[in-house]
Amino acid sequence: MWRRKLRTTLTILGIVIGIFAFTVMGSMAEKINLLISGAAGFYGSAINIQGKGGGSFGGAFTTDVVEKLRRYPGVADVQPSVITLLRTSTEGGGFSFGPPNLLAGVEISDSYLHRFNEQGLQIAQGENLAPGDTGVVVVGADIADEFDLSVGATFHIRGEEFRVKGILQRSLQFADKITTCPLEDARRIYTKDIPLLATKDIVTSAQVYAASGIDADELALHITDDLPEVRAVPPSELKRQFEAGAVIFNLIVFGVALIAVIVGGLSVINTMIMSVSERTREIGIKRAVGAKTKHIIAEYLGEASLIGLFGGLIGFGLGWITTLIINAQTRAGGTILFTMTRRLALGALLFSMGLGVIAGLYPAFRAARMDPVKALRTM
Amino acid sequence: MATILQPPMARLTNVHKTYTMSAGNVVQALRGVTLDIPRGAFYALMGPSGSGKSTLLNIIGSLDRPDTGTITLDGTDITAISPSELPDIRRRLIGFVFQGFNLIPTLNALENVALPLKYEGIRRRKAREHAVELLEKMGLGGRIHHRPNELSGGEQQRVAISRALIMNPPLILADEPTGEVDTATSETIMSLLSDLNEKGQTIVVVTHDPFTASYAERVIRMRDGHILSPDEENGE
Repeated sequence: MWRRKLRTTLTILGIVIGIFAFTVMGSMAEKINLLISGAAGFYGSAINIQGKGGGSFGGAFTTDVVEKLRRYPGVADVQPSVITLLRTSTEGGGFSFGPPNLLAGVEISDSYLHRFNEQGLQIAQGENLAPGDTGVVVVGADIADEFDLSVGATFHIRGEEFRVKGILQRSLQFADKITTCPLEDARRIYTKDIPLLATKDIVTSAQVYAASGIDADELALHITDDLPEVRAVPPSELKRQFEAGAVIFNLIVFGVALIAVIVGGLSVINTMIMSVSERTREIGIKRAVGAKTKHIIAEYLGEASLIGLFGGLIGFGLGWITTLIINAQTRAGGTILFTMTRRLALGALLFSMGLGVIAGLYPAFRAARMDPVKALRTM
Repeated sequence: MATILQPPMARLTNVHKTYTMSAGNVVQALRGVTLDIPRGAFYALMGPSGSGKSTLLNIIGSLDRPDTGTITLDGTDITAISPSELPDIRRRLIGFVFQGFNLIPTLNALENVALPLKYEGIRRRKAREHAVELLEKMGLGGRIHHRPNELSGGEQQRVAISRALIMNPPLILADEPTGEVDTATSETIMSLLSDLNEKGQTIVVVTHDPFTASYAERVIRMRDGHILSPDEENGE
């Protein structure tokens, strides 16, 4: 294998590039997947209530609808919220990779705090919001990093001053990019630019939780029928929407993996076939001194899988380092693009080794099937 | 008189072998060869190129299979067993010495010699010990870590013979063992083979060199794929 150092190096390089791309794209997809599954978990089994259309109310609806929902048969709990951008587009909040930073005003109740814990969210520093709070926020880990916030610090949000009451433990999910504040504070900020709404008690969305024994999808259909002001998105549809987003990214990763298979696999096959034909005589000698078919196959498969593993290790290492470097650079800007997971690491290495083995199969069997007499006659 | 009760080392019965060359040319390499090689024999196979002597050696050595006819090695009919069993037979019964040494260039002398032990499944350390011992006996104690290209022709041939002997096989098959070495080295190699023969190993040498053949107790002459009878030989 090391006899043709340049050729082996180039082959390994082919796999390095494939696995590098696989690792980088894969860790990007893992980040997206986590965000998406986090978002799906965030809404969980809730029915998401949205205002109808983008008319003068801008998709928002009033609190008397919330009251109607609370009284609606089969509804256990309603969590109204005002969700808006943390920064307006003129403040640079317009574009970001993945979900934007959001300000979420929530009605702080016992059931809210209960659900907060149920989602596995934890306060890393400071305290969580409490009923009756005002002018305070709890920020996600990405937000704390991006704006360099600590507990007790002043956080300027769209012209208003807030005190940071708590910072969330990093969840690698949606919650990392969210700033949570009391409902009234978010409503004030939301309506500031829309004077028409200023006098009204509006919310932008609400989560409706079905009572136990009630089918949430069915309940959503009834709500949409009975309340003309809103559209109730059933949990199953919400889940589908999130999953549709994940599918695209997973397809990209699959595509990259496919290219890695083709490029890496072909170069391993090529190298191994050349190596077999160069060493025809050597194979003949080995047969003559008593090597069995399995010895020859094991030798060539071992070599091919070693090439695969080597390329995989280097490619994965480079890919990982790249994601760490890019993450370190973009962390200041609040965007973390990549997430390395154990399943991705394991996947990349097994994939590269499997690639080597599969690409080595044909050359190995070709070597093993060689007629020893003809092989020995080769010069 | 144990030798009489035991089967011959090799017995060939009416062996035919045909090769199809490119463009459909058919070469009859062996046309009905019948031959007994007794235990402890030292035979030389001679004949012009194309007479079938190398094919015969390969067939005795189970590297090649005949079209028809049977070959028994140490009482085992190797034409009747599965090809997957041949490597074991080859390893345990036969030591090959090839023309041009046929050492593996990337392996050193020690690794080349230990190769059959590896395929036998013997532990690496034990195999190396055994190979070192044999190489020392062959006068190559100082060259065990040298690769073939760092050895002289005679040294390479002795490494090749060591490899053939490492499993202590009863039958040594040598194809032109003196084909690519000088006269002095030829003498060394042939007296080495003679010594082995005296210790009981059966030896068959293919050669076209009369000097090499002179070490053998019997010279078998071949032409056009068959063994010449004494009458035919005299008629030459």
